[in-house]
Amino acid sequence: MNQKTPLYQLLTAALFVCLLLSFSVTYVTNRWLHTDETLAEQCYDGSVLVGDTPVDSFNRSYYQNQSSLDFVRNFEYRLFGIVNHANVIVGKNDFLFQVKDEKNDYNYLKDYLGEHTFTPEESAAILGELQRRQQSYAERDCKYLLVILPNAQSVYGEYMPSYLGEISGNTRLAVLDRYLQENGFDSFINMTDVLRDFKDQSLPLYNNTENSLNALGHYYPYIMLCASFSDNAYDYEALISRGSLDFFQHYTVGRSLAKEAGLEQVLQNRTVSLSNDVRVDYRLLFNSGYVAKTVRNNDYGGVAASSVSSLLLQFSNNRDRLLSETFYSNTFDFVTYQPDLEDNAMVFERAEPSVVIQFIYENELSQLLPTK
Amino acid sequence: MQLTAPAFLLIFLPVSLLLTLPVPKKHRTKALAAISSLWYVLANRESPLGVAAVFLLLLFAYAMVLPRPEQMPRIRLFFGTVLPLSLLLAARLLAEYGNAAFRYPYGLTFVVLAAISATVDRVNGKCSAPRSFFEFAVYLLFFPLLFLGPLLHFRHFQERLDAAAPSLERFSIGVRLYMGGTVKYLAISAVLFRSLIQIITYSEGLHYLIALLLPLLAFGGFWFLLAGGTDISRGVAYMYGFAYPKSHRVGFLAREPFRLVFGAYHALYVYLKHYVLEPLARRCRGRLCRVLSLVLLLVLYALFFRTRPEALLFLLPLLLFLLPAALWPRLSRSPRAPFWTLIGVCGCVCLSPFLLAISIEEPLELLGLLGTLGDEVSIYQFHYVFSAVLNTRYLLISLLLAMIFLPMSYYRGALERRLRGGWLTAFRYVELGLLFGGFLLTLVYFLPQLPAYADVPYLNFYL
Repeated sequence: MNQKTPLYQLLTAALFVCLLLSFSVTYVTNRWLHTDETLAEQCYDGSVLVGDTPVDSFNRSYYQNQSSLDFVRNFEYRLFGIVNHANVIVGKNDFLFQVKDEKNDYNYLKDYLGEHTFTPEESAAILGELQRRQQSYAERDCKYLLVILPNAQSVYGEYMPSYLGEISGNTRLAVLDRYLQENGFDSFINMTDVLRDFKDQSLPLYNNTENSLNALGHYYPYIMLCASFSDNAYDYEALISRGSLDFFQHYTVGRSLAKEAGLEQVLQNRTVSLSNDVRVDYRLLFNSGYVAKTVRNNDYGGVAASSVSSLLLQFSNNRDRLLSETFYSNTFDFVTYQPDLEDNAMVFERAEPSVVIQFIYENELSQLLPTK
Repeated sequence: MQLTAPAFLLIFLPVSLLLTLPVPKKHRTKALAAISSLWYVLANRESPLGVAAVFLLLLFAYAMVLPRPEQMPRIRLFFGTVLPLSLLLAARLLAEYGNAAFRYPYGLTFVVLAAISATVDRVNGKCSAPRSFFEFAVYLLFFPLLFLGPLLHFRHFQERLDAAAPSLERFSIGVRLYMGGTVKYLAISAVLFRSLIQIITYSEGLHYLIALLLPLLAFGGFWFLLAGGTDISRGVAYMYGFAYPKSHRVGFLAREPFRLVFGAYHALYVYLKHYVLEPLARRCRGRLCRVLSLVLLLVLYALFFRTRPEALLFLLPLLLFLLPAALWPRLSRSPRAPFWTLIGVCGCVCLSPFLLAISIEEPLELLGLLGTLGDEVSIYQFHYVFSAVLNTRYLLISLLLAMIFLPMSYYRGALERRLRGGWLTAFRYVELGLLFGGFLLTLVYFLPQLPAYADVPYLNFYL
């Protein structure tokens, strides 16, 4: 090996020792301070280091160091556009998309490519189930309507990675939509075209770090629903126009997909909310924690004159209910909110609805399959 | 606690250097023995039985090398080789096929090979008895040598121990080797292996493009695993004042390109040549013997990394490739320049199926995977796998870096020969800066991502 000068050797040794000392001091200090806030729940690869020996403890302070992991994830995301998670796809415009929904046995990616459709038997089973629900509510003098909210990838297909191409025309929802229409079932509304038509370039309709509609995203299904009702179903003047609403965008901590990928501090969610000055012409009749019912006030501050508008709205989660409440409760006389899709006799009795509307996301369509 | 673990780098290494370097030479062997034993216990803290077995082996091997060569040579030769090998084989087979709760004692392979080497050399009169128990303990347990280190004869180790002299020059050499080795081991090899495992895990069928990529990843991963591991081993040894020879040589490329694959871990090749092939060659000659030697060399080389006999099936391409050189030795000597590159590349390609097989937990699963080749796999899956692999861009960057690193020694040597004076100095300082930059990047960016590679033995290699 060629001889190196003493200065070179000294510099090498000194730099190395300084480097080691700076890291040692940092991580040993973390270990002895034993502040749990500095430790992440998992290592970068999802593993968890166990053991109580000093070596295990030091390893934890290194591999599960929150700042270190945030730096790595930030660097990866910003420089390489990747996230370290098999269930999260990085899209354009800071959008994250999910790959699999284990709970509903749904594969977003395959469905996007048209490889996850319902079989004819499944479509028939869903049709049968929806007809059963319709019949069940009809026997109680109540109409039934299913509202299908598309996934973010169906509306914002242009934000999906370009190598995936355009969304297939044979997604589960598209195939089911065609099947239901061909078989004469019209008590459903597919909101995909509505949301695509009203995509606002300045304000998104979906949360970019979660497959869920934001406040603006819930407005357009509301308008579409109102348009589908007959004229005397509600007070037309109570209909909330887009121009009367003020939405604003703010940045919050990344939501479920960002959390799953460990990016909640790195990739913020563009949250679109309704401003506080929206009118509130309704009040709560009751709120049991599970179900809530609102009543719209009339012009004189009392309860509105009786009409046919009593709705039971069933959402698959409470968050969507809270975002929708302003619209429906300000428009319809009586609105009951239920945070699941169960046909609950007690809830039905208290709601006395003339229409039951079930909101379901595209990835949850398998819940329409009858349970065996 | 491998030599790439943060606990080793940030705590054990500085503390052990502080404790051993100031020790006077006459007591340094004891200090090194103590430090090595401590490291071994810490590295195998989850395998107390393994630690006990290794220390018993140390005592046993010491008992084998103490007597004079003419005392019970055959008995000592027999027990001194069979018992350690049996222990190694049992541990390896338990690790591969047994209960997942079994913890293979890290470094056992090197301890056993060193013990056998010492016994055989002592019985054959090729080395003297250890001057002390501590000297022998250092020979067996000196921790840098348990991490893809050079497999030294005991007499060579004694010479190096006598010549060991901590100095600024050796420390700086050790630092540069360690840093370069860490970059190769973690930033390149571990990333390539991780990508390979993820591609295999998430593939629902083998696309042709992926089928081309996988051998490249396997070979690249292995090459830099061995290059990095041996550099780390030598680097740490240099920091303690020991100058060990290179274990990773690509010189074969020009001289004996058919043997390039063995140059990846040259120390093992020399060990097997000395203790297996040469005794065999003394007993039989001719083409049959050369073929037998080749088969034995390949089998033992393969089993060194993983004791999975079924993986030997994937060595067939390499065996067939090397067979002509074994049958007609003239073929293998000093071919012309374009040909030796071609031969070297072909050898690497032929080795890749085996490397791919041993990268997977169950090597035979590779056959199942190959069976899905082109089996109605949509083109999107190639991209999806990349997306799922999560390493698209820096996988490509890693491959690019790997291709730059491969001939790095050659370019570096060429530049150093051509540059003079100030340019040479500037080149060295720039190189040092880049090395530190790469090492720092490895510490802050790559190492936190790779607890499964930095702290425990790679994949399933029970060494």
